Amino acid sequence: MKKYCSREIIICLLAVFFLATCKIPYNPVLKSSDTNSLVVEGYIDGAAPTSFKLSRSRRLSNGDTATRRVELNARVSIEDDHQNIFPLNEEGNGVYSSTGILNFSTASQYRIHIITSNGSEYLSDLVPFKPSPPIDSIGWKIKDNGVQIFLNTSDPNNSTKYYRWEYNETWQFHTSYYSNYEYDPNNNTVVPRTDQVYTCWQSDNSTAIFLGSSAKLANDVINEAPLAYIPPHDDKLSVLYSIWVKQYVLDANGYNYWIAMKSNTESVGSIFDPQPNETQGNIHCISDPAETVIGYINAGSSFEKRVFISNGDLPPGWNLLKDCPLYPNIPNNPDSLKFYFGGGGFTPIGVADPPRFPPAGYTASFIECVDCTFKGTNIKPSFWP
Amino acid sequence: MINSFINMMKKISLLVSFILMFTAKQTFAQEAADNLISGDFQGLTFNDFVQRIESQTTFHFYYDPSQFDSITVTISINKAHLPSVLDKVFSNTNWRYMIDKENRVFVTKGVALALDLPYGFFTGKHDTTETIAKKKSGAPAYITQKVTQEISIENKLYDIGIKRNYIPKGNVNIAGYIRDAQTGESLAGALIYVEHPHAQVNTDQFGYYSLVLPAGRHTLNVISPGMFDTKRQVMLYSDGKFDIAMEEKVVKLKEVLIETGKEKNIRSTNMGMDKISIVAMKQVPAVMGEVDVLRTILTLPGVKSVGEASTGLNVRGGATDQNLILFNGANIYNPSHLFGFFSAFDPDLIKDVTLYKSAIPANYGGRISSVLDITSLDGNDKKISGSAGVGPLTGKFTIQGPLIKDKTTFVAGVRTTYSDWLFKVLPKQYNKSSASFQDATIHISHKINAKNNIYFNGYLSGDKFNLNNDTTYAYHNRNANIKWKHSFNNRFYGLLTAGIDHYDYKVSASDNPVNAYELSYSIKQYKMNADFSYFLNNKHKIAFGLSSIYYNIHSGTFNPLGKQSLVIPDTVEAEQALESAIYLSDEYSISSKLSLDAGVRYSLYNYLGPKHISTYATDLPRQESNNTGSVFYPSGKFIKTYEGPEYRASARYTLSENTSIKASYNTLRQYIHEISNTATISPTDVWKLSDPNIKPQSGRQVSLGLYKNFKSNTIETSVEIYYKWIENYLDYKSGAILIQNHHIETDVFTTKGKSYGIEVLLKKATGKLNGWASYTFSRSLIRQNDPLAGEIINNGNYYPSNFDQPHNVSLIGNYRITHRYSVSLNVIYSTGRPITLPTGVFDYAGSARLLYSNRNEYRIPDYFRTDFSVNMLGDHKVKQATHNSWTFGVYNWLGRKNAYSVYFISQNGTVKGYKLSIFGSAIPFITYNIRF
Repeated sequence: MKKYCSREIIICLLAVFFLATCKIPYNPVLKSSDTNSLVVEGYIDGAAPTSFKLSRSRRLSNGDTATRRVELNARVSIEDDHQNIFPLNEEGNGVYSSTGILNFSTASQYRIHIITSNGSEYLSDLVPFKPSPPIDSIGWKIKDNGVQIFLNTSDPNNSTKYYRWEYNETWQFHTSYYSNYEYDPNNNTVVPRTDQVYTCWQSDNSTAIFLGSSAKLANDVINEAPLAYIPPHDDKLSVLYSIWVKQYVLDANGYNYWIAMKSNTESVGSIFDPQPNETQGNIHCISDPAETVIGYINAGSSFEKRVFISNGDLPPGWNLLKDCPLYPNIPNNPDSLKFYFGGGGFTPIGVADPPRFPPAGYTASFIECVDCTFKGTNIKPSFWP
Repeated sequence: MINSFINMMKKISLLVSFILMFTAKQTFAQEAADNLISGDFQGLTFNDFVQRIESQTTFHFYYDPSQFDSITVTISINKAHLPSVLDKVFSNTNWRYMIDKENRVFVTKGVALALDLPYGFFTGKHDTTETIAKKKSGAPAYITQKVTQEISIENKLYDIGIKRNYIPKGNVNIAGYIRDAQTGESLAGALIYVEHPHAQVNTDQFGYYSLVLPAGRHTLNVISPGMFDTKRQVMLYSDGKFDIAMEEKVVKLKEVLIETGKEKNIRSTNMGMDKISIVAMKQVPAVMGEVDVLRTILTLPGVKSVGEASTGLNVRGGATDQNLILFNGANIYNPSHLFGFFSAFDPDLIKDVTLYKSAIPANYGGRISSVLDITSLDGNDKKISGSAGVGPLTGKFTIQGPLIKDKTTFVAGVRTTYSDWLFKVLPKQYNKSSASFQDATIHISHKINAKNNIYFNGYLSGDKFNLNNDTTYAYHNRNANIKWKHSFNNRFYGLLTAGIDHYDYKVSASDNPVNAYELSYSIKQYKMNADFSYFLNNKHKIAFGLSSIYYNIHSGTFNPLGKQSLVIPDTVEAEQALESAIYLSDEYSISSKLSLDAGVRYSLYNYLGPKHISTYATDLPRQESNNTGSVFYPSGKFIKTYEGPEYRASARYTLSENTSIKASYNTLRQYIHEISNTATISPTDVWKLSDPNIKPQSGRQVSLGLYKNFKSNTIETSVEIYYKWIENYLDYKSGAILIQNHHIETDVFTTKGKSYGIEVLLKKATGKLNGWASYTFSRSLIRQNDPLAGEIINNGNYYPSNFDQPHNVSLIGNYRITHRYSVSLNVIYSTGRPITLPTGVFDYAGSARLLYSNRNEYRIPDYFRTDFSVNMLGDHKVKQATHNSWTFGVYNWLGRKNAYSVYFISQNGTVKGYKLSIFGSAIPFITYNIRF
C-alpha cells in the first residue's frame, strides 16, 4: 500500500474542485408583473446641449423580448431655484433636448420637471451645478495580455470628488482580402466593385457604468480609473483605435445611486456580493408619491476627450491570422454564382487562375473575410486622422 | 476459502481491539474468536439452547436441568458475547448466572449468591479497577477472560466510604469521573442513574458527576453516546469517590444486536440538544474528505446555511451572528476557512460537539439562537500518540499524551493548507489567485491535586486569500484561556475561567499606487467567568455563577499603503462595552417521572466611552439629514446601559420507559450584531456593539417535544415543535454602506422576526447500520414596518429571511461491511433559499438594467445532494508501529448542479440570467490518515 497520495492525483482532484464552480445560463419563471415605471436618464449639462431620454421599464423576459417603450409627448423643462425655466424640445424616440448649450451657473441649483402625456407630474430634487475639471489623460497598459484603457483626472480645487464616465469607441479594421469584384444579385453576375470594402470603421458605446471617487483620498485625484478593456487579439486594435470619453461630475448621493445601480446589475452572483435591492433616485412623482421613478439627475459641465491607439504601439503579435480560407475557383456559371454568392455566404475577391475573359471562375471567401461593411461602415468618420 | 478469510479477518480484528485494550504483547488465543455466539434460536428448551451454545463455544454450563424444563428460549443473536446473551435471556426472570475464568457458566435460580461472587473469588485475588489497570501489562489475557472481567466489574460490589459492619442510616454522596477506558478522556454528558430510589445526573464538561443516595447497596447505570452502557454495583457507607471507565463502541469488533439502556434522550431534561462525537462525524462523507464540524452540524434538523460556500449556521431561523460558537470556552468569531468552504476546527483534535438550539443552559449567554460548544480532546493519559493526515487540500498533525504521569496531559495539533500551488496548475484566469489557511490548537490539563485542576487552551487560525485581483484578504482568530477547577467537596466545585478572544481582518489593495490602502478591523474581548456547581441532593443540582466580558472593537482603520498613496487615513471610533451576567439554575427531579431544569440569568450591559454619539431627531426617520448633533463621552463613562433577565426553563415528563415529553421556554439577549448585506458570512463583516442608537437583540422561544425509543432503545425518534420571536435583528437599508461607516445606525434598521417549525428525527446510533434521518418543516420570517426606523420593506409585511427553507430532509447513513471496510451515504434535500429577483428591466447607461422591488420574493431551485464514501482501515498487523486508514469518496456523486444562487446581470448591453453552482459536479476525494 502506498503511504501517500501521488501528486498527480491531487492535481487532478483540485482541478475538478475549482472547475466545479460553474455558472450556467438560467431563466427562472418569474411572476408576470407589468412594470411601467418612468425612467429618466440625462444630465443637466453646461458644456453641451442638455438632453434627457424618457422611457418606461418593461417586463423581464427570457431574451428581453418585451417591447421597449419610450415616453412620447411629455413636457420637459429644467428649472433653477430662481424660478427660471429652460424648456426642452421633443426630438422623437423619447429624447428631449435643449437647442444649443444652456447657460447654467454654479450659483444656482437645478432640477428637472416633467409632465407626461397621461398628466402625471414629476419633479427632481434640486441639485448643485458642478463643473467638471478636464480629463488629464487617457492611457493604456497591457493587462492579462489585453489592453486596459484608463483615465486620469484631478481637480486642484478638491471639490469634484465624484465622477462618472461614458465612452464611445471607434476602430478601423481591414478584411483579410482586398476585393475588386462584387456580386450583382439582380443579374446573377459578378461585376467590378465600385466602393472599397477592405477598410471600415466600427463604433460602439459603453454599456457598463464607470465611476470614480476621490472622497477617501487626500487630493482630488483619480489615478488610472479603468475604462474599456480590450481582450487579447481583438479586432478593435488591429489598425487604429479611438476612444472618446465624456466625464460627468456627480454629487455624493448621485454617486451612491450609480454605485448601487452598478452593483445591482453588473456585479451580482458571486459568493460575497451584496444582495440586490431597490434604490431610490432623486426624481419623484408629485401626483402620486408612491409611484417609483427610476433615475438620478445631476447638473454640471461635462468634459470630453478623445485619444487614439495604433496597432503599431502595441507589442508585436497582437493580430492573429483569421480563419479565412481562400476558395480558388468558384466557376463562372449561373448556378454556381447563385449558389455561392447569391446565398450570401461567399463574396468574390478576384479572377481565378488562369486569368482570362470572361473569367472562368472567381476566387472567393466568406463575406466577413472580404466585405468589411458586413460588420462596419466604409465611410470614414469625420474625426478620423 | 472466503469463509476462512473472513474468519482470519475476525481474528485479526479481534486481536486489534484486544491490543488496544492491552498494549503489551499478547499471545493470541485460538478459541477467542469462537466464543461469539450467533444464531436464531426459536422456542428452544433451555437444555437445547445450552447445547447449541456449548457447540459453538468453549463454555460449559452447570445448572439443575429439572429447574429449567419449563423454560423456552427465543432469541436472535449475531456474534454476541455470552454475557450479553444471557442477560437478555434472563432479563425479567430470577435466574442468575456466573462465568468463571475457565469458561464455566453457573446458572442458579433466584439466589443472589452467585451474582455477588466477584471476579477473583476463585483465584483469591481482590479485583478492583486498580488491579485492572495493572493487568494491562503482564497477565496473559484471553478475549474470553476480558469479557469475563468486564462482567465481573459490572457484578463486583464496590465499597464506597469507610466500610462498616452495618449499613448506616441517612444519605451519602458518591462522586467521580466517567472516563474512556482506553484514552482516559473524560466523558461529558454521560448519564448516571439509579432506578430505586430514582436518581440521575449528567456528567459535566469534565466528565464529573455527583449523586446523593441513601446509604446501602445500589446499581449505578451509566450511559454515554458512543460508549457501551455499563453499570456498577456499589455499597455506600459514607461519602466517597468512584471513577467509572467505559468501553468505546468503535473498538468493539462485533456487537450484540440487542442492547439496552440507550435511553439517554428519553431520560435527560435536555431539549433541542444534539451532541455528536467525532467518531460519528468521521463517518459522514465530507467535501474533499475534510471531516468538518460545522458541515456535520448542518445535517441536524433545524440547522441550515444559505449555501455550500458558507459554514454560517442558521439555527431555527436565527441569523448567523446569533450563535455562540465556543471552542474549549473560547469565543470564535469567524469559524470558517477558505471563503467559508471549511470550518476552522481541526477534526483530529475534537472530542465532541454539542449544539443547544432550544433549551439553552443559564450559564451560556450573549447570543440568542444557539450555543455550539466544541470540545477538544483532553489528551491521552496513558501514552504519547499522534496522527497525521494528508488530504487534497490540507496536511495535519496532532500529538497527545501525558506530560507528567498521572498529572498532566496535553493535546496539540496543527493543520495547514497547501492549496496555493493548486492555482498555478489551473487555467490562466485563476493563476494569479492564492489562498491559504492554518490553524493550531493546544489543550493542556494539569492535576495539581485531588481538589485542584488547571486547564489551558490556545487556539489560532489564519486565512489569507486573493482571488485573481489585487485585493488581499486576511483574517485571524486568536484565543487563549485558562481554567482553574477547585472542588470544595464531593458535591460542590467551582470553575474560574479567564480568557482573551481576538478576531481581526485586514483587506489591502496595492495595484493602483495612488489608491493603495489597507483596511483593518479587530475585536478583542477579555472575559472572566466563575461557575459553580452544587449537587445539593438527588433532587437538586444547582449551578450558579457570574461572568463578565469587556469588549474592545476597533471598528475599522483605513490607511494608505505605500508612499504614493493619497488615501486619507480614516479611523472609525473604537467601541468599548462591558457585558456582565449572573445566573442561577436548578436541575430539579420532582419525581422519577417529572424533572425540571429552571434557571434565570440577569445580564447587564454598559456601553462605555470614550466615544462620540450622534443624536437624531426623535420623530423623524433616522438618517444623516436628521442628525441633531453629537455628544462626547469620556473614557470609562457609562454611555448607555441595557439590562434584563433571561429565563431558561425546560421540563421532562416520562410517559413510559421509552417515551417522554419535554417542553422548554427560553429568553435570551444579545448585545453584539454582525452587520452584513451578503447572504453568507463574509470575512469583512462588521461586528457592532449595541449603543444608544442600536438596541440589543432579544429572542424568545417555546418548544415542545416527544421522544420515543424503539427496539430496545436502539432506535431513537423525536418530534419537536418550536415557535420563536426575535426582536431588534438588524437588517440593512438599500444601498447601505457598512464598511468604514461612522454612523452605521443610519444605514441599518431593526426588524422583528418570527420562526416556527417542526423537526422529526430518527436515529440509530449503534449497530452495523447506523446514522440518522431527519425531516424539518420550518419558516423564518422578518418584518420592518416602522417608518421611523428607515425604509419600509415589502410594504411592511412579513417576508422570508435569507435562510427560510421550509422543507429539509437529510439522511446520514453508515454501514460497516467488515471491520476494515465501511460505506457512508449522505442524502440531503432542501427547499431553495429565498432570493430577490428583478421585477423588470429598464435601459440606462447604454445597457438593459434590472429593477428590483420586493425582497426575497423568489427561491433558488431546490437543493439535492448525495455523497458516498468508503472508509478503509489499514491492515491489522499486531506489531506495526502505525495504523493507517484511507477514505475514498465522491461528494455530490450524482453530479447535480445545485444552485448556490440565481441572478441576473447586465452584460454587453443585455440582461442575462445565470445559475451559479459551487460544487456543480461530482467531486472525488481521497484522504490518508496515519495514527501512531
